[in-house]
Amino acid sequence: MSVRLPKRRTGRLGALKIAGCVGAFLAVSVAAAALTPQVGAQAEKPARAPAEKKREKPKKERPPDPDAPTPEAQLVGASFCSAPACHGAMLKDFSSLRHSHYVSNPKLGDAAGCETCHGPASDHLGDPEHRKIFRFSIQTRENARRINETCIKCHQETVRKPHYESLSHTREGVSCATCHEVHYDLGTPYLLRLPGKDGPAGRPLEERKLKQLLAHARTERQIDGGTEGQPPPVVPPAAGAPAAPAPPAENRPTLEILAKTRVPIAAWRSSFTRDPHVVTKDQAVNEICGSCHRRELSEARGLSHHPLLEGRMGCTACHDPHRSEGGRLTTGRMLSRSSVSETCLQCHQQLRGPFRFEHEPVKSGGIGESCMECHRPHGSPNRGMLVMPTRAVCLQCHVDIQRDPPHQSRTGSCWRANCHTAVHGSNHSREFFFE
Amino acid sequence: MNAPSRNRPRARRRPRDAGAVLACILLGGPLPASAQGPEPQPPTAAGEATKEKKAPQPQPDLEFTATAGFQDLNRRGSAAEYFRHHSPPQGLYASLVRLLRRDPGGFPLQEVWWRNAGEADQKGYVDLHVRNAPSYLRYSRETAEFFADPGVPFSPFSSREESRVRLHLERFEGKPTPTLDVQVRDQDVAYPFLKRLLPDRGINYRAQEYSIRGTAPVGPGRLYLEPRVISFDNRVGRQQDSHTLELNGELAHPVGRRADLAATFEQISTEVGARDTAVWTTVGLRGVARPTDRLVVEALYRGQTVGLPFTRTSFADRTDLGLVQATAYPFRRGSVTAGVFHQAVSREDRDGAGSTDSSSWNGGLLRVRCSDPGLWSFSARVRFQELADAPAFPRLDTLRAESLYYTQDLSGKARLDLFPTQRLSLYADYGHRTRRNQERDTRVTMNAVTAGAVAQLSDRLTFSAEFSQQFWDGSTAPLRTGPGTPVGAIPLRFYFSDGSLITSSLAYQVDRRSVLDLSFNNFIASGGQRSRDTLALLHFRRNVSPVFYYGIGVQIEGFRESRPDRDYHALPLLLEVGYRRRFK
Repeated sequence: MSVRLPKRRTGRLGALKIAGCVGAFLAVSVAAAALTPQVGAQAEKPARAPAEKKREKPKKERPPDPDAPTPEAQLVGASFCSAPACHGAMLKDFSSLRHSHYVSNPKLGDAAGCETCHGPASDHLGDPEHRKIFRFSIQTRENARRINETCIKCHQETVRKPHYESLSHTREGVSCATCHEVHYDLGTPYLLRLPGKDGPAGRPLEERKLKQLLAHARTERQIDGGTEGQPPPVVPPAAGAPAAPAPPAENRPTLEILAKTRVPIAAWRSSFTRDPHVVTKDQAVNEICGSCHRRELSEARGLSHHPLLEGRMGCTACHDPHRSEGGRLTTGRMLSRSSVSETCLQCHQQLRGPFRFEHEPVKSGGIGESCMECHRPHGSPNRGMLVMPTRAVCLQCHVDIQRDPPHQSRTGSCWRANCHTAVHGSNHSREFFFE
Repeated sequence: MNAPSRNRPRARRRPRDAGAVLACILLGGPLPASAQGPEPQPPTAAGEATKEKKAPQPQPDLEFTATAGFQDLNRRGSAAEYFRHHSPPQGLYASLVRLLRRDPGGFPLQEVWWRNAGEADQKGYVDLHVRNAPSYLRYSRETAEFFADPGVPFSPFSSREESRVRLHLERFEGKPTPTLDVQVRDQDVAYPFLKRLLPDRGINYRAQEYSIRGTAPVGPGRLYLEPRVISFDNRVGRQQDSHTLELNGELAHPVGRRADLAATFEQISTEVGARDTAVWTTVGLRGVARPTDRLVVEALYRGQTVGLPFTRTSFADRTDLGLVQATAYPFRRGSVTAGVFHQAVSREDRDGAGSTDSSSWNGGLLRVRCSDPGLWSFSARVRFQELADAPAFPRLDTLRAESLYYTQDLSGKARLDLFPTQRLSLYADYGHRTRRNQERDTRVTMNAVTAGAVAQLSDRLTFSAEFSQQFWDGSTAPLRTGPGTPVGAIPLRFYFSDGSLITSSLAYQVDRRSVLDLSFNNFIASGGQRSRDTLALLHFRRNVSPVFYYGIGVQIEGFRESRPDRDYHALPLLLEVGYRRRFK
């Protein structure tokens, strides 16, 4: 009994409608953005000529951004920053990083050194609150963008600018500096911050690094929250000045400040023991991701799971935290490939096909979620990372099979009764009986 | 944020020997003087101080680390279950061999790194960096053994071997420069026995992937191009070899200072045997605009056409997605995102009458985030979509013709973080998803709750505990319609499995040289899948001197599954002794 359906087709017209609507909306938004004067960008641009300033329409005065240099700020050179009473201790550590090698390149001219990323520091030197400079330790939305835009100047190959605005991470105020530590040599791959580095899981940093961060975090906390006393006194950069005294123990930075709400990961059985000095790249990536994404981490400890915690693979095998594409584009799963199926096929090439008889959900191309119709990729209480056990996973769609007489005498799962063994697609059987 | 360019002294470019640079990249040797460019200065000597004499760097040149380990698994019970995810080393083994050559400035230049050398699960890589450019050559290889299907308990191990080579070429100019990546990936996978595929010979294939990714600045924007070739060589079964060519490109370009546009193109062509070529073509346009400091607007169009000339079953041959969303930041510590989307799907019904049907997803999303740094933060997101004109399945071999697709999809997530004191952090996470097929009156629901705490009990002691529970449920009404209980059908209460996990850890810094890790995990699956997995782990590590260190660990592991009845118990004991030395 075959029911012939009326032929309907949206085709090009539907596509043009959608593309037209999106394009029109985009054009209006871009035009509005282009016509809107940049408020927070004066500090990033060089001072304009007087004639150019005259052409600007008078606009409503907004308070200057306290965490950005003014347009008149001047470059002062890194020698001021490295004064012992200021950032000397930090720069000592920083000088052993590859970044310091690049930012001190003479090609950068007067901006070489700290001001390559932090902007001109003359205002910062004279500011009683030690602000007026780009600070990467503050996790606000404005600062997240500022941090990202600073990093993207060199790292455009990794981070594509239109993508990071769309990232869930960006909306949550997560910036490059949330995951990467660019000032201290933690010895981790990709300069990742790592909970438990140089110590057991749960201890953020070794004591020396802790003290350095402590001094820094105390200042940041006073400035950012204003909840812990008055701003620190102004310390003019003087060569040979004694180092600042260690802050009292009660000002020890919280886990939130040190590790940005990171939660340590309890140890798990693994083929690769966790060596605090030489963690594997996968271990470092998994710890940094899992310290926030707790539910996904729990699933990775389920009955069946991808072997992340066993040390055999990392989150970045499937996800690219720098891209917003992939999967359901509207939620931004940050997949490393353009779709769920392409992401899975990277390692499961035997399922690529295409087959003469495709199981439609696997490569549905838009109606379903392809592999994730049946599987939970982080882990599941069921075998095979299935959303439901055995034949129930098939019956979630094929409900009528439950009452189909030929099927009622079968036991076990639909594919293990030597019936529908090629559930991912077959070249020889429409019913997926064999490959 | 940089200084005006007219104030900068113009850097004098020095001639470089490209061949010598490439050779040095490939061989890992020191760069010739002509290729090293100007001698870099430490930050303290930047700017007007660049002419000052560089201070001597006391960093070592060579660092050697070797760790030997001994592990006795003390396993009893099902080997297939114990090794289903990995194969830990047994007996005496080389846990780590590492040789690192550092630049006099301190950063790594070349590195050889090999974990578990010669064992079933091993990883290693060789990194060759150059000094004055972010260019490098990396070769990595890893192997793994595991049981792909514990349902065949006496089968040989499954294995996966993977090698990768990546050559990254880039110059540092203090401004965007072109980059080139050449990548090779070689996978060799063998699952000798899978119960599902018996009596065939499981899965055994080799897949080789070659790609070249080039990026270059185009005005203020950037162009990304990446062709990729995948060769799939199947060794068993009836599946044919295939050859896939992927072409990826994206042009990202800013529009003024407050908007960015990106246009993407992707085409995937796959040849299978002597058949025609299947082609997936995707074009996309993405735009992000920031009309004000407190508003970000995003629009996205993505269109995909699929051509499967030899496929005889139904598939979606064209999809068009449009998304518009806006994020507002009404106050400093909060944001609200709202968006709507429409996805039109054209589906070629090759199972039935050969007609083409059209359906569409319509939905929206909402996301809220607010926080008071240092005290609390909260975020919640909801997403809803509905399938209009769901395609019917008028097949002879199914009893009903209603759509097999879910027609409603609702998902949500909320997270609350609390920081009551400087040393205590609490968090709770809730996730929900409901998928419903209105035409068949079916529904599947998942609820997940995760709650935990991290406490820094003292300067040396950190404690964390977490509980996670996942509930699965659904409508079984359609399965119960009709007289009596279907013969052979599994009881309805076994249609869903729940999972719960308790995790806790204790980390103690005994002294400046010693650390102690204690953790406990207990996972329970109930419902359709009934199993329990328990793991307790104690690990002590001590740096005896700057050169020698050791670690001792013991694990208590237990696993039991009720249907079928399988279990294992293990008490792995681990001892590691390490040697770390730095040479000039």
